[in-house]
Formats: sequence, structure tokens, C-alpha cells
Amino acid sequence: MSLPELLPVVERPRRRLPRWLKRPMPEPGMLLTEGILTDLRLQTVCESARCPNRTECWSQQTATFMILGNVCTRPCGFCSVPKGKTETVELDEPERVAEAAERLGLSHVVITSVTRDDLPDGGADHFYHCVLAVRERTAAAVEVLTPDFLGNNDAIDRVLESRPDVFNHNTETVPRLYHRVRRNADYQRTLDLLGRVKDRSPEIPTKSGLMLGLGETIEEVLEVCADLREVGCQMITIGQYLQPSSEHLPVERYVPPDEFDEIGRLVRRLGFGMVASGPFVRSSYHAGEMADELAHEVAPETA
Amino acid sequence: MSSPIRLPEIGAGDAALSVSCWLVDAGDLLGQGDRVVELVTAGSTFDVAAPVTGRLSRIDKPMDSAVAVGDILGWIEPEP
Repeated sequence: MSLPELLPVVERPRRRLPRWLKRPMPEPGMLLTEGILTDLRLQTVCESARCPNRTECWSQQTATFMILGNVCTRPCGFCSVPKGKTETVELDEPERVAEAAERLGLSHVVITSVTRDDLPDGGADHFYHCVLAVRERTAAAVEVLTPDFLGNNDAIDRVLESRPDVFNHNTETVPRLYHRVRRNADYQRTLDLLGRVKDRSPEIPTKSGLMLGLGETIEEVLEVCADLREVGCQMITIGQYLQPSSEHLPVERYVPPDEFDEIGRLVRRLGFGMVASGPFVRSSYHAGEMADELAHEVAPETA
Repeated sequence: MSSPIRLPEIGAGDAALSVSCWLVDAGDLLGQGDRVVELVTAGSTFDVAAPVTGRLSRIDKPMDSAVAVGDILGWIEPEP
């Protein structure tokens, strides 16, 4: 397999960002989405993580719900979700998520959370209730994007009991950069989580995501993707890391769209059922379309 | 009477916003909808368009200025 040039040519952010990072201005649908989310006191990762796709997604009335509060127990260097003292779990949150999904007319709901290492089950039972509540009120497919639950298999299994349509857990970056990018996480734990989901529920597609531009090499990216395939991961998203503020890790490199295309092509060869690779690709960006395409492309893996 | 180029809601939430570049110079003739000024926020960039046809008469927020939704970035003197 021929590889493109190594990725980590150090190139600090400039005042003007590359032209391919231009985003559209919002459309009227964005205000409707914002109104419903505010009305129901819901958090979204779109806002908390300063997602560059928020304008586009909200204009199309889609959003990724972030449950279990807006404060995270992990100090990841890339993420703008607030860290510190966590909030009380709100028992009516599943019902509010379900109502928002219904009012927004969503056909694919993505539910994620802050990491809650302070809770005995990491919030797994709350995930379970959120999935069931959405199912109760809508016909939408439900994708969960979970933290690693500190490797607690009972927690993983509790989420699986809700029978999500997609189980997503992000790898984020290559293992060499975990200490700097994803402190308190563990690469093997992430692989083990995805492997356990596949072992316990082979019919549920598993998915993971990576950010580029943090100093990784393409060889490292491909090794991670091969490891993900080893544990049966079927879907992968690969996008550009974008620095949420000057207090976060700097962007080492802006990867041009044609390199994303090439990386996507190389990753696809590893046998993923669905690969999304591009500067603005995020783990839940166009998640419904990705899941639909996977369902049409391949039967869920059983091994 | 001059028309303001106002920064609309762009969905950046609480992220810092600044002017990264003016795409035209003061005195340039603009058509309604033409891209006039580029903004940068948490890792993405947006263009603000001219609200009316006319000549860019004044720039209130030069390159690198911190800006907020509702701010007047500059002025256009309408021309027929």
C-alpha cells in the first residue's frame, strides 16, 4: 500500500483559516432548533463543544443531545466542554430529550454525554432511559456516543440493553498522543469497549471517530483503524481537529480536503462498511445518512 | 443614507469572534449579497454579505477586531 507524505508538518494556525474551513451562514431553521432546545433546557454537544457544523445541522433541525449535565470529569486538551464540579442527574431529562426529538421531527437521534467518572455506572443507566424514552415517543433510530465508562462492562451492557441502532465510541487520536490529547483515557480500554459491544450484540453496528491535525502520522492513523477493524468496528469518522479557543491544544496542521479523501480511500480498504473523511466530519455529522448507507451496503457483522 | 453592515447571528455560541479579513476596500462598489468581510471563530470561518448595493464608505471593525453579534462592521453608501 503506498502512503502519502507524513502528516505532521508543523503549521500553526494563521489569522485567516484555510478556505476549505468556510461555513455557510445560518438558515431560519436554526432558530427553531435553538428555541426548542432552550425551551426544554437541553444541552447539545453542538454548543458545548463549539462544533463548526452547528449552523448547518441546526438549520436542518438536527442536533446531538448531550445528557448528564454540561460539566465533564475529564480534562481532555481538545474539548471545550466545561470541566469541574458535576451536576445532579436530572431524572426528567430522558423525557425532555424524547420531546425534543419529537418536536424537531428527527429520524435519527444521537445521544452523547459528558464523561461522568463520579457516577458508579458512569451514567449508563441514564443513557438506557434516554434511548427508551426516545423510542417511546418517536420512530427515530437512536445512536449512542458514549464515554468509556472506565471499562466497566456492566455499564456497557446496561446501555446495550436499550438496543441502540448504532453504538459509537470515539478513539479521538492515536495512542502516542493520548496523554496530551485525551488524558485519563486509555487506548486499549477504548478498543475493549468497542470489542465488547460487538461480542455481546453483534447485530448493533459499532462506530468510532478520529481527529487529524494534532501531530499524528498517517501510519499511526492507519494502525488505529486496523486495530478498530480487529475489534469489529464497522463505521469510522475522520475529521479535522479545530482549536475551540486559545486555551486548547493548538492545531498542528490543517489537512487539505484531498488528503482527507486519500486517507478515506486507504481506510476503506481495511474493510469498514462506512467511512466519512473530511475537514468538517464529526462523529455525529450526517449520522443518520451514514447509518442508512451502512444498512444498505452491508449486513451487520456477526464476528 | 448609509446602511450598516451588521454582524448577524452566525451560530458561534459563546466562542470568540474576530474579523480575519476585509475582502474589499473602502470605496469599492458592492452588489447586494457580495461577500464583504470574513470572520473567524473557533476553528471555522464565515463571510458576511453586503446588505445593499452601494459603495463601502467606512470600515468600523478593521482586521483582528473582536466582534459580537449585532456589531456594525462597516457602512455602505447605497447607489442606484
